[in-house]
Amino acid sequence: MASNPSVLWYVTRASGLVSLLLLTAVVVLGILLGARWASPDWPVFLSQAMHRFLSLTAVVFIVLHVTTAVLDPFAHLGLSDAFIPFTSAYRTLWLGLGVVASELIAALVITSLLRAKLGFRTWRAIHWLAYASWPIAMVHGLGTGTDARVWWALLLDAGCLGAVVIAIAMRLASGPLRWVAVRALAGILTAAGSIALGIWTVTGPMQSGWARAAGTPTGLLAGHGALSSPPTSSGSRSSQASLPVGLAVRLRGTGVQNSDGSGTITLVEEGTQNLQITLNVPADVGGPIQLRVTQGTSIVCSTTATFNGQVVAAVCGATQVNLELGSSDDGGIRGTLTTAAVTP
Amino acid sequence: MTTVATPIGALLTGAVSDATETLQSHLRRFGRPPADPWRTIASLERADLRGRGGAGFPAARKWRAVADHAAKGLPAVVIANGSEGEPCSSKDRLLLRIRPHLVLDGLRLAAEAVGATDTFVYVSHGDRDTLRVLRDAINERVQHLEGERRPTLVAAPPRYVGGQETAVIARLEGKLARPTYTPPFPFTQGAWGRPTLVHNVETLARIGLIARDLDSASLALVTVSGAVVVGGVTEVVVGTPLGAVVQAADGVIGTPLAVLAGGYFGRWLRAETCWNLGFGTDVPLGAGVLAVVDSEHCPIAETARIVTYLAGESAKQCGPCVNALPAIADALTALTSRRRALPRVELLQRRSQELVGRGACRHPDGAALLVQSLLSVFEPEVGLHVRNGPCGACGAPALLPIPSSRGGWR
Amino acid sequence: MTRLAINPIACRGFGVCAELLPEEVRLDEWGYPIMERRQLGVELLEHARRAVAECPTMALRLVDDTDAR
Repeated sequence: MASNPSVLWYVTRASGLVSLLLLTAVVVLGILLGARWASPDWPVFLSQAMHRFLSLTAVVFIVLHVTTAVLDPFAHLGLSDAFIPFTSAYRTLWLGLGVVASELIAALVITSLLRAKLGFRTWRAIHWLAYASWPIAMVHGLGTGTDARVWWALLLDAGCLGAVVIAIAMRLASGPLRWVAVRALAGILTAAGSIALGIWTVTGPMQSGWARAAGTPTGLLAGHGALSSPPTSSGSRSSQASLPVGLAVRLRGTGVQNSDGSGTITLVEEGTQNLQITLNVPADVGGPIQLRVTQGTSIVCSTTATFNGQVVAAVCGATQVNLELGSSDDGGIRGTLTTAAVTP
Repeated sequence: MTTVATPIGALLTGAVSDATETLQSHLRRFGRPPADPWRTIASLERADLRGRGGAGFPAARKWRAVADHAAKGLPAVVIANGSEGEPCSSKDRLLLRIRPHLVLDGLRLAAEAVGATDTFVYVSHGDRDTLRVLRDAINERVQHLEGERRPTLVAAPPRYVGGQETAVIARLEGKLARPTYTPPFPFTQGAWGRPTLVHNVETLARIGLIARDLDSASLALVTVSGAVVVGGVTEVVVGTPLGAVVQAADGVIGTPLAVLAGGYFGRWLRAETCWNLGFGTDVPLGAGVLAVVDSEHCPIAETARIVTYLAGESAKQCGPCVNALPAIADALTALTSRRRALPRVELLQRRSQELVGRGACRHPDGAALLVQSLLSVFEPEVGLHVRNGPCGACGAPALLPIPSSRGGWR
Repeated sequence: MTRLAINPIACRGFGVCAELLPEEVRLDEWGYPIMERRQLGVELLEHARRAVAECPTMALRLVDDTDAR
């Protein structure tokens, strides 16, 4: 089975989301432990065991997330980008935050494993960093991720934030009210932080054009705004060197036989008519097919393609372009253009 | 075998005023401190001297333990504990002020016996007179006594638990004067990880005399206070009946009702039945405190104030002490003041019983046992207070001293 | 000859020990442990070890001699 590079990208996204869910559960359980919360059906030692188990599971998913992100050639991430924050070319700040979060989490896990040697006081002082690592991971997800405009992903994020906020509120109100000033301050910070996060999400990652504003290198920007969503009509048009990866475009058009025996197939993107594809098929079968992709008035790609009987395939710059053709009901030609990263 | 009566080694013989005995006078009376540590330990073991700081631990056993551990590893440390946090007690301060050389002799002998390279004298920092006297006495000795090592003077916070062994060690190390968890015990790992010997200053003074073949183990310093004619420090034979001890203070004032023996961690006795009990035999010596409460005062009200004080003096490191002591204090105070709801005695009993042995030090134990002795010895009176509210004597001003709890732990 | 010993200063009253070893530990009204101070039989030893490992503040230990508090 040949590895489809876009699989790596999906796994990165998915494992990132799962990591966030797991980390949220870990933080909520940690807060419950701090509050010494227990019920007849849920003793403290169960919260402890779950907290530990889920944090190790989260580590597994974070490792998967980082590994697939580095292996996926789309964002051109190198190994050092995964460990040294704020050095990647791709969305420098937001990716860097992810590195910071992962390293904080590594510190939390390692110090917890070595708790017996460190002693309770030292361990506890370091463990407060958990309250920093979670929001950083959250912001990383929203800033780097490509799902900020997908409703279910936003719902998940909101749910995670809600769970943590509710847990913190419960913790601040629980037990004998000592350290009142500190608790009040913590409450204010949590509320302010949540509101700030909400405002930032709506005015930043949820806006179109975030990908560019967040620092996606120009060559990787899609012409249609956010990468994962189906191409929409909004979005800035920028001149690019090659086709973006992950496109799936439906085309309609016609084919014409020329006098010299060659054929020309002209296809246009359904609906928006944004992309135009021209195929020049030579008279002799097996000869090179000329593929030209135009967007508006600018030629995006012009190269030779191969045909394996089903799919016309070509490489435009760093993008693998596949074109599947079939006949439509009205006697014309319909096609589907997909792009993917070139397998190295 | 004929027994030869050993000459008595009293600490306070010939003490008429508050004057500090000079080194010269001390040497004239007792000669130089003996130089044979092995003989000293043997004498100490024979004498079976018990510590006079409140715990009553056999002194020689401590020495053996410290000496053993020092032989295996780091050099030992000896500390003379004169902090005297017990409010009713003034024997240690008096001893240091008028007979410092007895204490410093004991300190020197102990250090030689256990192979200690550093010695300390631990005194409350508010006690400037004592500090001054000690400084002068130490200077005298360093100047005139051959081989005298200079002990370091350490000023202690005036906290009730500050005199606890591990608290003393913590303060020496520059930390807060709060008790620490044991094990490791000070005789294995004390100050800076070294085997540490901590002795009450009276214990050390007696060691100095025992080493000179004087019988001092059978004597004890007692501070008599409360409703007595002349309160103060007196020296008695261990086992002297309480009545005789109080006579040494020229007797009681008014009608005695209750006697507090040992200290604020000690026990209550009914005045009617206690005068024949031997102090140090039938009734534990504790810190040598004997306080008489007369019928103008209420032992329950006194206890309520004492336990409130003890709750405030907790180092607040252990949950049971932090929670139970104030609850018990509140309950006792409710018995003696009109304002609050009356507590249930069974709750009071249970809470004090559950408290014993659950702290890192014996502070909560002391308070709990004091309360338990009140509840058992004065059961009828307690019952009356529960039914009828505060008695006529509840409103009287405090008889037993309650120091302020302000000030830090250093 | 094995008993459970607690460091009262380290203890913060999480109560995990009472959950894992109720035969030896019960909680007072403020959530702090009261030990029965019994010798732990073979069948309880494993649970005791788990209680020692799970204490969030590492306030417990197993002692083998009889005069440790």
